Amino acid sequence: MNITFPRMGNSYNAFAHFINRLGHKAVVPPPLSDRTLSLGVKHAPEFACIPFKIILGSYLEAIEQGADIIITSGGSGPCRAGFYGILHERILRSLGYDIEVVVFDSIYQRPKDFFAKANRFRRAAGVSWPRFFYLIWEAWEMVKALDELERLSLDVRPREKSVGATTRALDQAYEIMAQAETNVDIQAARDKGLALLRGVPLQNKEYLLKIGIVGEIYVLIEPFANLNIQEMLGNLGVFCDRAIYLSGWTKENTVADHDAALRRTASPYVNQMIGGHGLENVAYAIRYQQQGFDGVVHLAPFACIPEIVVKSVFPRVTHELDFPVLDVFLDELTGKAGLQTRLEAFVDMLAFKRGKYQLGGVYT
Amino acid sequence: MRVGIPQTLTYFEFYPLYCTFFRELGFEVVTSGETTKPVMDQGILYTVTDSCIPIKLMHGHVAELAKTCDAIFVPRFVRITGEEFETFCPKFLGLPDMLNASIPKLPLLISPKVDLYRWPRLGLLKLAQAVGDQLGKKGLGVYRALVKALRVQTEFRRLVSQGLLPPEAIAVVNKYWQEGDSLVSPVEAEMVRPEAKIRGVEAHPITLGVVGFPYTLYDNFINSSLLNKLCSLGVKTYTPEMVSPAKLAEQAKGLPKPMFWYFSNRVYRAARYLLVNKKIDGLIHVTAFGCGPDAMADKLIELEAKQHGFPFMSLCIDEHTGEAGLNTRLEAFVDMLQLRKGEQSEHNLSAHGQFV
Amino acid sequence: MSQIALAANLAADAGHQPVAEPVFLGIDVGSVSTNLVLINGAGKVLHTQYLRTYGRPVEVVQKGLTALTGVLDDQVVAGVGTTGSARHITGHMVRADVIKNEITAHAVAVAELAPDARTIIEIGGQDSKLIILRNGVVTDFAMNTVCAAGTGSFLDQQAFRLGVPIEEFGGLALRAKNRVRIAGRCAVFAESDMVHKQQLGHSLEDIVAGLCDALVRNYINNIAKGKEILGPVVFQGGVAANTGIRRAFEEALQLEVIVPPHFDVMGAYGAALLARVITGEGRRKTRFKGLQIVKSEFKSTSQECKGCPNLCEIVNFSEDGRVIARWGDRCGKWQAITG
Ligand code: SF4
Ligand code: SF4
Repeated sequence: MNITFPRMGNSYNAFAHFINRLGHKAVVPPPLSDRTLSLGVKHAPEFACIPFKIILGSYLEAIEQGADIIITSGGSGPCRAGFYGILHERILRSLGYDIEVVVFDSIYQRPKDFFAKANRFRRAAGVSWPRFFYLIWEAWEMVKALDELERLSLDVRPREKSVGATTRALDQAYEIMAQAETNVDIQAARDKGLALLRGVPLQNKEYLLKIGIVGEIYVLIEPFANLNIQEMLGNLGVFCDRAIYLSGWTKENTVADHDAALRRTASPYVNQMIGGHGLENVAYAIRYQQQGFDGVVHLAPFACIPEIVVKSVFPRVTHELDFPVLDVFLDELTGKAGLQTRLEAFVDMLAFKRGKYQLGGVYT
Repeated sequence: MRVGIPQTLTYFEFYPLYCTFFRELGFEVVTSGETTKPVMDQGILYTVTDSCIPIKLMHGHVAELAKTCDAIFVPRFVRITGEEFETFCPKFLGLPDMLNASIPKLPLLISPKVDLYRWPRLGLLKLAQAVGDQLGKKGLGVYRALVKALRVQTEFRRLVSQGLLPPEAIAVVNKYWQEGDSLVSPVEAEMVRPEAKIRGVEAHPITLGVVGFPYTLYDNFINSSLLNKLCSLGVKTYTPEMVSPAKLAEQAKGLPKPMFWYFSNRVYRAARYLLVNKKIDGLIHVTAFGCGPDAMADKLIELEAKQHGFPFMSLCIDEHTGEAGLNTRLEAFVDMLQLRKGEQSEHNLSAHGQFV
Repeated sequence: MSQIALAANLAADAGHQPVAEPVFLGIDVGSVSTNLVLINGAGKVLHTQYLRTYGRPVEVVQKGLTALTGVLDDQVVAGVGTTGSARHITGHMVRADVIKNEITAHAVAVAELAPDARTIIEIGGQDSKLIILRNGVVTDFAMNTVCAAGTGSFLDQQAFRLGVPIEEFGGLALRAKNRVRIAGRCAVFAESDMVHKQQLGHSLEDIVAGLCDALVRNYINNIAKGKEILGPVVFQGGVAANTGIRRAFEEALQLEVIVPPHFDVMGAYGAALLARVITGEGRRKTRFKGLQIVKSEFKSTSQECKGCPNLCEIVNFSEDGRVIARWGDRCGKWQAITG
């Protein structure tokens, strides 16, 4: 089986690793590009959100590269993402591709369905269940390692001496990770990568500012979708912490009643799970405020349903907590230059507020 | 005390229930009336720009009620059916939060959480109690009000199942309230109202399925009286509300798993029912500008119509839907169907070149 | 304007004296217009220029600088700041001391001219902004992203349709008796509605006033949504010349709206002020290359980097064949090598 999957951030390394180790052939979707986007825009419904369009375009490119089956995750809504797979399949079929999209729903919510689907890939590869689960675990280790690398890069970039050094080190670290086979390799690659990043020459000891990034998971994690916002902020000397990682690596995760705690935090503003990470994002923003961050950037696809609810309550959060939020809603027309201007202005504004920046002071 | 009920969103589905319940508790009930230009403008002003038009209208209606009411009823709909994963669009889920954050000087918002998935009856009872508590009503009175409200709601449903459009059925219910007759038992004669009659007649040249959310289909302002217009073109229309719940449920099989949104499922299933059973000559999907679920549902319905070989048109409703543009599109669609039908009966050929 | 006329104009501005004191130059290169402002050490505006960009930022900046040669001695330019959407390329070109985004530049300018302002409405040719100031510090801002209906180009188009010179728009609007309501969230709808109203026979004045109201409504519904607008309100940008729009804002906001002097070049003015902050009073020596750059030939070329799967498009910006800046690479390896 030539298997492909949605490309999202750095996670493709781990997915490809898993599929190849299982004994199938992973078709890694080519890096997302303007071509990917225009392919997606062409065939997706006009009002579908940008992740839907990018992923559709990416599937089409993977099909060109020989993919014949797609695996993806589902969900129980009410965010649209849980329904992507089904609609993607229908659209691809209507375009004449004989392709199947296998949607994995939550193992907890639909266990039978999950195992039936998993079994198909396991049997075809001829591996035992224990081995299958071992490989899942191994891939998960890689997801965690990749996220750890990315997190460190956020800490290093705003302080690097020469622009781009961090990005180069990070790319190199991913490269090393892609070569890893066993879990031992993965851990070694992780250590090497971390060392590479720690070796980036620094010029400043401190960041100018700290900004939290919250929002819809896909545009948060995939740099192509968010126009590389982490790098843009890093290059402005700002440390940014991202609320959501695929590995779910958040400090809060160690707290047992993670969900309940988030719900409590958000409850004065949103008092109901609204799908996606809607409620969580309100809570994350409030936490950033409590942790002394300077502000929050709220990233979401244009017309994203849960995030529109979030967007409408953020003014209240800003007002009551005196905590600035910049809403960035992305679609296929969003230009990098405009975003750059808005980020610069936001950073200036926060720096002023902090008193860290007298006119012409710290940076130009 | 005056309780306001916004005349949009679930109004077309549950107003008789809401209205009876609050009246029986001894409150004055008012609605925000039909959507008007000022109501819409207000809504646009208060709502985040990228929101869908129905939510903007909702903000407008609530702002309207805020001027005169002591409380506004905006329940938070979470689940009302026996399907575990069938909930509502996130904007319904977060509606009270959005309103609270966006509209200044709101009176009391009565926004109980409606989750009837596990224990529908018990859930309803608890719901009634919660609302009663919030308004300082207790005991048997609340229970009685609920029973009565459910009865009126059942009556309303019956009227709808007989072919009345929800606003028409609501008018019947209102009439009984106005005349002081607290027990609703509308006579059949009520049904022989002109619009209903037209829809009842058999000899229509064209029958169309018109599917969409009740709050877009039955809001004559925002859709520029779409259904009346079709009526005057001599078209017989079926809307999702005219398909029985049982028949709708059957159509769930059209998808590997249901969508997550109550209203969208209904729209999709009604469309599929009409297509599969060949009840119609063509299908119109009325979508709301900026609606998330519609972006998905519309494509599904379009593909479904294509697969079953029916002409399909998607009509997007927004604050600028001019009457002129709408008329042209409707007329063209109906003309096209008429031509196609004429051809078929002459040559016994379908447009796809197969024998019927 | 010929170069001589400009020079004369400049000399006149500066009080018939050739400029001798240290001056600070601000350049604002936007998509529609390019503005240059010269101020002296005390912040006094000595000269302003308003030019059309026509999509050629480099040439227009050269043109603007050319007008300065002969009047200004290189030595007196003590600092240069750039802003606007082409601020980076212009900054590389002249070697600016400060490169700042438009929001900050505008806010700085207003903080100088009207220190107690709490709201800035800026409407230019192709973009519009709202800046909220409290105690002279930006606390919130918004920019239009896609829609043109709240910008100057919308008015230009409609003026063209109506056959009215845009300069007369404001006066006409003020003479309206029964302003018509022109619907429309976006330019296309508003245009069709306007044509419709015209066919119904409404007077030109009423239609023009209706257009002003529509622009203001769109601005308030899109850009100002959810923002707390408090007076004093400063209105600037090219459109601020239009008295009809100003009145429409005053009515919609129920606040007095102030149009500052130099309202159409505030961005450049702010950039000049920022330059003064950095290099003024001998704090730092300017990096400015000097006016001779008007004779240089600037060129942008692009190439695709095949160094990694990112395939970045690298832009090389060169002066007289020598690459002075590169951008477009994700990894920064190209930015580092300039000749
Ligand atoms: S279902 Fe669509 S129209 Fe209804 S509230 Fe949600 S997004 Fe708006
Ligand atoms: S510029 Fe750097 S990141 Fe971009 S393609 Fe070349 S090597 Fe890759």
